[in-house]
Order: sequence, then structure tokens, then C-alpha cells
Amino acid sequence: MSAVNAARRLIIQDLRWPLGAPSPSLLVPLGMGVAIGLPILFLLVNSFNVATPGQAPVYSLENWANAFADRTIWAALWNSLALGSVRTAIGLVLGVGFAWLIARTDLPGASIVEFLFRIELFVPSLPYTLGFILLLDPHYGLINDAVQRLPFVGGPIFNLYSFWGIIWVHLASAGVAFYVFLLTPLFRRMSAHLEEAGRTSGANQLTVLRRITLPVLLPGILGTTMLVFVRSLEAFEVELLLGPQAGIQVYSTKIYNLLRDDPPGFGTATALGSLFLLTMIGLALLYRSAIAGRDFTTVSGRGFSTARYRLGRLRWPALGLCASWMTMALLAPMVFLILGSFMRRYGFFTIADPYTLRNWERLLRDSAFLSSLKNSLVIAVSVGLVGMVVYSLIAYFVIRRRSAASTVVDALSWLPWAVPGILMSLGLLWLFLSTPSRTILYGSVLGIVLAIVIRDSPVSTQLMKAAVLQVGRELEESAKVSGASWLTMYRRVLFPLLAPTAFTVGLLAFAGALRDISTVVLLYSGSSRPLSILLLEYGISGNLEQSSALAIMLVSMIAVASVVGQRLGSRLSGSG
Amino acid sequence: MRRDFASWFLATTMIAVLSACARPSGTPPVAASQPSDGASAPDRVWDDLAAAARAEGKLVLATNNTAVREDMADAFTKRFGVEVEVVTGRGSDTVARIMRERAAGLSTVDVLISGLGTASSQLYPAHAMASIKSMLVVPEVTDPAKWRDGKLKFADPDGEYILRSVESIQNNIVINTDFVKRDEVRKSDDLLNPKFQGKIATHDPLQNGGGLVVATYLMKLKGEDYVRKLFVDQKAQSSNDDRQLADWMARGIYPINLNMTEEDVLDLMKEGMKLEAFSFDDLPPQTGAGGAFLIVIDPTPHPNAAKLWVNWFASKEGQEMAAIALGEPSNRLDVEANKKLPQFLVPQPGRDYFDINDWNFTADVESIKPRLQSLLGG
Repeated sequence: MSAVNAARRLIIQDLRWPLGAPSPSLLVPLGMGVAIGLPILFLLVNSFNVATPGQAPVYSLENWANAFADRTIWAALWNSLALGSVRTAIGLVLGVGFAWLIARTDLPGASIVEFLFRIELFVPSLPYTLGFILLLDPHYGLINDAVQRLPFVGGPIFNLYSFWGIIWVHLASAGVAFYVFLLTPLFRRMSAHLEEAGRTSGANQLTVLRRITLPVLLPGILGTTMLVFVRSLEAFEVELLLGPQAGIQVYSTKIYNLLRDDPPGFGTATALGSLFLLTMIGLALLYRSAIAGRDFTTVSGRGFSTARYRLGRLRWPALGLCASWMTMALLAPMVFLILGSFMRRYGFFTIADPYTLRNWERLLRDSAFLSSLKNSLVIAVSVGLVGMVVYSLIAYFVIRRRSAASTVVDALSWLPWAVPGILMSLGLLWLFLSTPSRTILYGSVLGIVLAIVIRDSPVSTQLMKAAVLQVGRELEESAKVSGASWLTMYRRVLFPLLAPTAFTVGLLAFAGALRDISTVVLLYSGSSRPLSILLLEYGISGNLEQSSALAIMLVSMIAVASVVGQRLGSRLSGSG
Repeated sequence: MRRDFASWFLATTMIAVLSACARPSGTPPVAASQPSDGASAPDRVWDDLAAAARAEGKLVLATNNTAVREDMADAFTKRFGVEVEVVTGRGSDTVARIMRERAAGLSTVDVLISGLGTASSQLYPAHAMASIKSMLVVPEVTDPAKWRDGKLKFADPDGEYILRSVESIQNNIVINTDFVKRDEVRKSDDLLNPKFQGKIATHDPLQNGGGLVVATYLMKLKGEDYVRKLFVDQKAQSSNDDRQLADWMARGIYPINLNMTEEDVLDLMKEGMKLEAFSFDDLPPQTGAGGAFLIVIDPTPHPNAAKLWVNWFASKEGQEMAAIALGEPSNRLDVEANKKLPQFLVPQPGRDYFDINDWNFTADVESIKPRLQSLLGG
């Protein structure tokens, strides 16, 4: 057995890289170190700098002392952990359930449900939250207003400005959709033969799900859960809008307020953000120990079964469940987003002549709109395509080459989420400004593309890692035996097998690039401004109506990309 | 099929990456009309300034005002054929960006329109501003008779770096009269009436901006005890989101506001909301230029374009647009737009005002901040 393994290792070793090229064991960690490690290093060093911006640096521990001297920081940390844990746990249950229904059962209209989850994920959070405020505000929310007209109801029954209100907005806006988006391709990649074997052995569906499906998909589920939890710690937009009236302050809003201070307290914010780093390290260790020494191969050379579980009488109730979720979590806020774009004042239905086309006219006439649209498309397409290629290679390196170098690369891939987005952006800015190529990178579309690709590293790497884990080594070995070079094997065998996940990565990167603000905000210039920054500008100036119109355009672009991506992904995987 | 796709994929990737590598160029400058042979002396000054600016290609303007970007920048480009690249963001963010660029030996911003706080605390000490006074060359701009009090005002102690071309009454008390009667709020102590507990909104008094300025003003004129009672005992609700403050006011959730922006007050009035804006009877009203100070960054990447902008901004044409875009009455006496602005914004002759943009008061705001933080529990 050991001789067979040794032979396999030799073949895989041989497949890894073209002869004579610099070793990937050196290149990959070095590249990742420069792109990801250096910005974090810049941040950490500068967190000790207490000089006024633009002055010669003066180093001391003052920023760190200030960061943790604030008595309220521990309560904020507790709130963050409580909100993050609860929404991650609820999102996990709902997300796994919906992903399973979409990918592993004969749910009617599964592709439409999946498509709607993608839209749900990509609606920008500001207009989304505003839509829910309009529905669930205890003073004037339309749903509260309607419910209070019932004879047995004495007051508002929903309060969005509360712990559970914040949880609801997070779950509805991305908390569940993120799980569905990331897990559905993994469920789909899993051959049904394992489940069929379980059922043949007499296990009922719940047992099959518990004992076979979920354990096999453990890397993907664990990785996604980690990502959701880290994202929840970092989130601040919803808490910023709903938190003050609920009396809830979270860790990320503390950091956000420091960054908005005058001058911005980057050093103190970085010191506070260092707790993210510790959390990430803890989670990464947990992940590694959970999957260590286990085989998660679901795609091998032994054939692939796409049979789906028949829901029988439960088909329509299951669809009803999905439809109810979509109505509450997507349709209601989207209707108000669309309506808001035609209102003279967002949410004010009782003023004279409340509806107008003015917001759309002004948006399309805005000279910044067309140039921002062009920039956004170039950025999003570049980020999507580059992300697919780069992260499939990195994931392959991490999974197939078990070595110290791959461990380093794996750890580095998490770092961009180890600090809040805007701090990572600051680190990249310092990196760009420190290089001789700063005039090419700073303020340019290229710099923004690089920054977003780097920022996407955790989610893209984890997704691709889970996909590579599912592909059996014998397929690569067969390619080698047939005389294929590594590049041919990658292009003709591996990448097509990874295509559904790669397109998910590409689409996620594309959509993320379209709506990304925190990574871009310190790096753009007037000539490289993307639509997301235009959206921010409308938001800063309180123009929610034009902001809604622009958000609808962004969602429409993402919807089109989602359809195209889904079709290409299906065609490549041979299921379409 | 898969080979076709792989080729398509590689080609698309290369095109996208190459497109990303190309730094996008903005709209090419529109060719301006040539001066006629019989042009007057002032016209020739404009023509010379415009020709020099066009040779530089563009102007980079930083502002967080959408109307300045949409209206003033477009009008400037149309008149002079000089493209305006606008960088937007809060004043403090833009100044932080400028300071970072300076540290790296870069300078990308020519002109900044912002509030005074960050400019005075960071740009001025770092000598990061160019002299505007020395750039003003158009006769209709330099003529003292065109300006209130017979001079063009600057906010800095040297009188040449921070142009203060507009002036309005700031931080009016705003009430929604559907919920609060005007007679109930005449003097500052009226706000301490227990019936107004939980009814007052303000910008955050612990962060730079209108909330901190008002808290400092009240601290100096009414004392610490009043400030504590107003913000803590009366449970004043703070937000730094102007739109949220405006919506709270419109719906009567917080029908009293200590520092709503002029633009929001005017917008709500236009929509038929019953608002009143006024100053306390017992305190001098606050005056200042809000976020409308004009600064030229040194080093200036496009000095001639900046010079053209500065002269145009201070001209009658520029100030007519600035008064509307910024919602602030111009200090130019010949600006018709001032008459279109409501009286609660326009300083009246003969009345005493408290200048919140006085250089010393700006320093007071900074020094009082720690005391406020301890007083209000930040």
C-alpha cells in the first residue's frame, strides 16, 4: 500500500510544474507574502506610529493602550460575538437546508430559487436595510402599521431596532444566501452514489443526510461557517443604522468610528482590529484539525451519479417554504427599493405627488455615471477572471502539495479578512505608495483590481480548496499516464472539473467587486471611480432616491452575470 | 467544446487584464472658443488663464458636495474646456488622503472644498496649502467693493490660504411645528423642559462636525451643567447621518434638531413639511461657512487649472452657482442667488453673531473635546 502511495506521490510530484520553471514552493508563498503579508505588516508597524499624518514617524505603545483602555469595548466585543454566533448558527441551519433542497432534491423550480438567492446575496446592504426600516420600524413601519389595525393588537409587534431585528436583517440580506451560494456547488459536486449506498443499506433520508451527506461536505460547510462568522464580526453597516436606537454597539462600529475620527485613528483602529487576527488564527487551527487525516473525495474516476432525492408529497410544501423566505427576505425590501427609486422622498408616501422619474433622469445624466459604469465593468470582469485562475492554482498548491510552504500559503490566504476591510485597504495603499510602480498602482483601475483580488483570497481559496478536495488524484494520474503536461492536465482535466465552483468564485468576485466600497475607498481616483463609490457618494449626500436607482442597476448587472455564469458553469460541468 | 471554451476564457482574461492595466483617461478636453480680436481686458485675463489651464489638461477637485460635482464642475468644463476630475468623500478622509500622498512624495489633488476643522488642524500646520490670495488676478474678483465688509475674507491667520467666500447662520434650531410649537422654544433653557426629553436630535457631539461645534458653543456660553443636562438628561439622540436626522424630523420622531444641514431643511420645506429654523433669543446666532471653504493644495499638480478655478469660483458667475450648490449666501454683494435663499440663513446687519469659524474658536473645539467626552460619557 505504501509503495502505491509513493508511486502516486511521484506521479503527482511530476505533474506539478513544468520542468525548469522556478519551484512553486518558492514562488507561491513569496507572491502571497508580498501581496497579502506585507500590507498587514505595514498596518501592524504603523499601529505603533503616533505621529500626526505626514510627519516623521514616532513609535510608541500609546495607540494600543488607548484601544483597550475604553471600558465599553468589552461590552461591544460581547455584542459582536453574540450577534455573530446566533446569526451564523441560524444561517447554517437554514443555508444547509436550502442548499440541499436546491442541489440534492427534485424541488420544483430549483434553478429559480438558486437564482433568487444569488440576487438576495448581492443587493447592497444600505438600501436593503432602509427597505426593512420602512416595513418594520416601530413608529411608522408599514407592516407594524397594518398589524396594529387588527382588533386584538395593541401596539407594534415588530421592533427592528433590537437584537433580533439586527439578526433578521443580516439573515435576510446575506446571512442565509451566503451559505446557499457557497454550499450549493459543493452539494452538486457530490456524487449521489454514497447516498444511494446508504439508502440501499436501509437508512432513512435524515440518517443519510446526517451520516453521509454532511460529513462528506464537512470541509466546505466548516469553511463557509468560518467565513460567515468572520464576516459577521466585521459587519457594521446594519449595526450602524439600527444599533444606536437599540442601545447596541458592536466591536466593528467602534473601529468604524475611530476611522471616521478627525484625523482618522488608524493606529488605534488597527490595534483593536488585531483581535480579528487572533480569532482568525483560532478558527483556522480549528478548521485544520477538523479535516486533518480524512478523505473528502466525492469526484473520482469511478463514475458520477447525479440522481436526486425525490421529495414526493413534500415537493410543494418545500417550494412553499422557499417562496415564503423569498417573499420576506427579498421581495419585500426589493419592492421598496424599486419604489424608492421613483419617489421624490424615499419612504414618504403622503407628500403631494410622491412619485417621479427625476431620480433616474439625474442618474443617467450624471457625468460620473458612464465613466463609473465602464470602470466597474472592467474591474469586475478582471477580478472575476483573475480570481478564478489564481485561486484555483493556489488551492491546488495547498491541497496537493502538503508541505511547510503550503501551510504558509494556506495561512496567508486567510489574512485579508484578519483585519476589517478598510484597514486592509489602508495596508495595500501603503504598499502601493511604497513601491516604485506607485504611479501605476495608486488611483488606477489596475490597483483596484489587485486590491480586490487580494481581498477575495479567503473566500476564493476556501471554496476552491473544498472543490479540489473533492477531485480524486487518479484523474490527474490518468492525464499524466496519457502524456499530458501539467498545464494541459490543468486546462483539460482539472479546471473543467472545478468549473462550477470556479464560476461561483468568479461570480462572487465579480459581484463583490461591483459593490465593494471598503477595499476601494482609499485607492480610487476621479478617473478610476467605480459605481460602488458613486453609490457611496449618493449615500454621503443623503440622496437615497438616486442611490436606490443605482442599486437597482447594480443588482440588474449582477443578475445578468449570474445567469451567464450559471449557464457557463453548467455547460462546463456537463450538466447543462 | 471545452477547448473552445478554454481559448475563449484565456482571451477574455487577457483582454480584461489589459484593459485594467490601461489607466482610463477621462473625457478629452472640449476645445474652447478662441477669443475674439476685440476682447476686453478682463476677457483677455480669463482667456490667458483658460489657455494655461487647458495646456495642463485637467483639474482635480475634492469635495463631498454632489451639487458641486454635478453642476459647478460641469459648468466650469463647458465654459473653459478644462476637464474636472472630482474626488469625493468626507473632508477628513480627503485630508488624510492628501497627507498620506505628501508622505509618499505624491500630490494628486489641486483644490479642496471642505469644512475648516481638518484644514486648520492638519493642512495648515503641515504647510500643505498654496496661497490663494496670490492667485486672484481677475479684476471683478480682486475689487474690494464687490465684497461684504469691503474685503475678500480668509479664515487663516495669514489671510491668504483658506478662502471664505460664503457666510450663513449656522446650526439653527429646527423644529417640526406639527409636534412642537414655536412659542415653546424661545430661549436655550426651554430645551431642558422635561416634555422634550427624548425629542431632541443632534450630530454626535463627541465626533468632529456640527455636533461638537454646537456642544463647544453651548459649553462656552451656557456652561458644563447645561451641556450635561441637554445631552445626557434630555436623552438627545445623536446620528452622523444627515438623511436620518432629516427623516426623524420630518416624521416627528425627534421634532427638535440642534444642527440640521441647510440643504435638508430647505428640501423638507420644499416638500411641504412644517419646519421652522431659528436662533435662541438669549444667545448670539452662530455664523460660518460650513463645508464651503476653498483651499488649494501645495504642491499643486495643475497650478494653472487651480488658478483658473479659484478665480472663477470667486467670480460673480461662480458665486451664483456656489450659493445654490452649497446652500450658503455669498459674501459677494452682487450675487442674485442670495435673494433666493431663506432669511434664516442670511446674517442681518446690526446683530451680534458668534463666529464658529474664528481661528481661536476652532482651537477651542479641539481642546474642549476630551472634557466633553468625559462629561457625556464617550
